[in-house]
Amino acid sequence: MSTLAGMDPFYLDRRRFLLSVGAAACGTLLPFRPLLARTQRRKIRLAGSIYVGWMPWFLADEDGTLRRVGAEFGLDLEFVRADYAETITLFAGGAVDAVVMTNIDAVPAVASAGVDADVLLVGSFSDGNDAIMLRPGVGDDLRGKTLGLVEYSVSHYLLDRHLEQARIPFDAVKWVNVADSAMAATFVSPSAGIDGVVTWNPIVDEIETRHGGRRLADSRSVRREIADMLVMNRRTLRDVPEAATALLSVWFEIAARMRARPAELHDVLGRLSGADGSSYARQLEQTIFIGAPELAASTLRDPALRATAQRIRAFVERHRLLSSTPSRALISFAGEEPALLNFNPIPLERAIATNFRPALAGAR
Amino acid sequence: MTPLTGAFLRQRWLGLVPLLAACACYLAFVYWHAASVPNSRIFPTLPTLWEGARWAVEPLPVRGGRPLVVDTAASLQRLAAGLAIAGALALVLVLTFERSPKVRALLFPSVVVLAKLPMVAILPLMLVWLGPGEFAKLVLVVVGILPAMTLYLADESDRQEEALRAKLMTLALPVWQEIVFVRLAMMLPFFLLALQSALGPAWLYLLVGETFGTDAGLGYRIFLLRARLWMDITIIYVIWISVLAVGAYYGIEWIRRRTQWTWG
Repeated sequence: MSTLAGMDPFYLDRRRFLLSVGAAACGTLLPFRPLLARTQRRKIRLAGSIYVGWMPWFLADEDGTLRRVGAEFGLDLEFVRADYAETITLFAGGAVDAVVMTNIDAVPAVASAGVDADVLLVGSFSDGNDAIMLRPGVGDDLRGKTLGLVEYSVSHYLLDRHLEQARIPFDAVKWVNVADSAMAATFVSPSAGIDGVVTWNPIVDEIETRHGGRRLADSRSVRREIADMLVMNRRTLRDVPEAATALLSVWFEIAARMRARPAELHDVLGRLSGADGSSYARQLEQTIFIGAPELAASTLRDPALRATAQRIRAFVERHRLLSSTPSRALISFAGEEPALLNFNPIPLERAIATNFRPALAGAR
Repeated sequence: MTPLTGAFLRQRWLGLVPLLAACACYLAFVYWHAASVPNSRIFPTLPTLWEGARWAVEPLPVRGGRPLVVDTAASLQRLAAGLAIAGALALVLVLTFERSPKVRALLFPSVVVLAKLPMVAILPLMLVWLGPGEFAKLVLVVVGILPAMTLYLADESDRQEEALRAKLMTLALPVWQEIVFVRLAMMLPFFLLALQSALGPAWLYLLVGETFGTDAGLGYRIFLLRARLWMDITIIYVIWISVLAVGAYYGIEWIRRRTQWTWG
């Protein structure tokens, strides 16, 4: 070791130098400690956005139910929050294993991404939660008007169905794409150049109560057509079947709590969505909420879903949401050859049969 | 280092005038607006802003934890990690450039091009390829500030190279001592300057990255508040972020001034 005149030999000791550098490097790794601790169990990610029918997942994430039930099943359940369109992108890109979305959005998502997906649960039907809101002073006739919405989404489907029912030609109404988080701001801003928006709760409630929005039409006119579903990647379902049981167990546990203590749960769920208890209760009235397991199982086998599937196919074709004609069928139901999007009641029925308990180790 | 005395401030009071004028204009408009729309959350008056500040320090439902505290901790942690990793990588790159002209010829043109790219454009790619977790956010910040920092430091090291060359040859130090005690030492003030310049973009990419896949963070909270049009709390958060950003900048400035004479 050489010595520089006047310099403290401590700095020149290579071992101590390397040790201190190593310690500093380890220090920068400290923020990642929680990440490393959880890699033992298989990670299952569920993506969700803020919508009245999906607030139970937010609650499960916040109060630890998701983590606890995941641990019971030997899984690491993670809930990922984002804008609605982003959650679908995450699912289509394989970054998350499951997502909560509507039937209308599920079809183009799985078709364009080529991801085989199974619908495990229809958690609710929108019965007024999706609405066409008009700015104050705008007349009822939509001809020539411009509306903001998340393009090619459930809002777009609602608009098309309303135009069908009102016998207005589709191209008589203009629309612009707006992200759901920007919807309220776009509605309020006078320079946005729009006459209204088509969106969902809690933004609909927000616009209606606080920004003078008027409801022109909503999903009550298309009853039981807009289904809010839990969709899982078929490959994940095949590799990790207990993931389905775990997620379903979480859902029905929160649903049971909502039945037992409605006022308290509505308050919590409302505040989680950035509103309050009365607002959430109001929104829940506009939802056909499926909280009982047997009802959920029979809903998945409901033949009415087939009729809606036809309408969804027509919607997808009209807007050319599929880049090419898919080689396989788009939608299938129980008992059929699984298509790209398969309504699969088997995991739910099996979960009900085993009372939502994890399977014994080794048994499949 | 000029001390922050009364005389110092009294001589510079004019600097505060634009800020006070902006606040005055805002308050004037807001109180005029409040005549027609009382209790507006989009153009909040001072009492509404106070309520908003109260919301930010009251515990959240279910999980507990005060929003401002939880969000600041999460965001600062990500920012610090991003700055540290980008800074370390930039130093490693520049030191490698100095020692190896081949590596420099290989990587330097890419660095120059990347420094001109707006990294926000790669956000959708990051979202899909890297998923929604912490790693993607970190990569976003690091990739956002690394090229510019490397470019700046490489420039500085080029400028110093001439003066250093003769001195290093006379000293004849072992490689690691040359790197640590001469090159890094000479680089330190400029490294801190690079960090200061990188702070702006780092905040940007941090806030943008926090709009998905997280449940705590300043960017996440602002994104959520925007969807509800709760501008009162948003303004509180914006003021707080400004304080943090300016504080971080002047924090690094303080360190720089303190260490500059040592390495001088």
